[in-house]
Amino acid sequence: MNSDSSFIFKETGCLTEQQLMDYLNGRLNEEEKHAIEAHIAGCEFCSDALEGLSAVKNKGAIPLVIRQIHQQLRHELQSHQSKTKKVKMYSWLVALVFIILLILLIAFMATYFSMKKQDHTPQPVSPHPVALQTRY
Amino acid sequence: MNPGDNSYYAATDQELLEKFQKTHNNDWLGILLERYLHLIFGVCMKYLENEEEAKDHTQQICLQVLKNISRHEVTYFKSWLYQVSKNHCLMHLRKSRHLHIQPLTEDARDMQAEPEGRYRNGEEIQINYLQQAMKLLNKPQHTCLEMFFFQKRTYQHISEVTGYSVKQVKSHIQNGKRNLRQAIERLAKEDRRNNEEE
Repeated sequence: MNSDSSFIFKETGCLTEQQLMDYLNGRLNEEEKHAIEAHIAGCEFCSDALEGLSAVKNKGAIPLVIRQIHQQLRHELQSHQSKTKKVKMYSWLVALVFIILLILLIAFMATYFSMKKQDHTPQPVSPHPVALQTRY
Repeated sequence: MNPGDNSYYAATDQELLEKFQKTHNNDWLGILLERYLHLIFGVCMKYLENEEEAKDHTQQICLQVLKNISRHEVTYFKSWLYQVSKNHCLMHLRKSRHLHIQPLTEDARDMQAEPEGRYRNGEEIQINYLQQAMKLLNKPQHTCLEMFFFQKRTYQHISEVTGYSVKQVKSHIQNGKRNLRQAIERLAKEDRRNNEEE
């Protein structure tokens, strides 16, 4: 018996759709079959998936179903992306409007207070008040 | 590397996940999900036992991932995705069939675990303990593991020779492998402790 146990626990990449289909359809030789089984002995994800896929009645339809899910996902990603873009655009627009309003408010307040200040400033009393002179 | 070109094919899950975490561009996540669609569908089939439902729920799982991944600290995408998929199916079953299922938090604890990660390079394998650990397994597990790993036999062949069903063979190998790992770790730990005492 080989005393090195590393080959038992060696991790390999998850099974591709092609590998799973070949295994399910019995298109693999003993060595290839063993390699797939060695992987599923340590990978719950692939093991569960294989068990599930083996329950599909029409195995020939599996790639088509996966392609359909793939297309739906693509569609979903695109709409998600455009939604995100729209949300981003609207947030920029809202921010812009807010900034403009803020600037207008500051300008208004500045004008208002400067005018108010001018109104309250006492008129300087002239040392020589100019009396209305009536020319005769 | 852009999500639009094909250079991402060679990228690892980790690289794609990092790209997504940096840019928050869902296209990276889409590429990652596409890699595992067939596995998600398979898991859904296993638990839901209905092709149409499995198809719908695969889609729902993808949406759930797109929506929620930012809320989680995902280290190993594959393990995390498996747990999300499995939990989604179990939750659905619980809702529809009122089954008693372990709370999700139990599974969530293991969400980040990469079961084989520690053994990736064979670094921590305790070479001398294998034979000892094999002896600690029960007979069916020992037989199946022996035939599978050392004689390189397939499940079908082992089933024919031993009389166990293929499902039983698979289960003995999976459980045996787990028990073997635990036994090796235990033996190594005991050995270390003995050495320290000496």
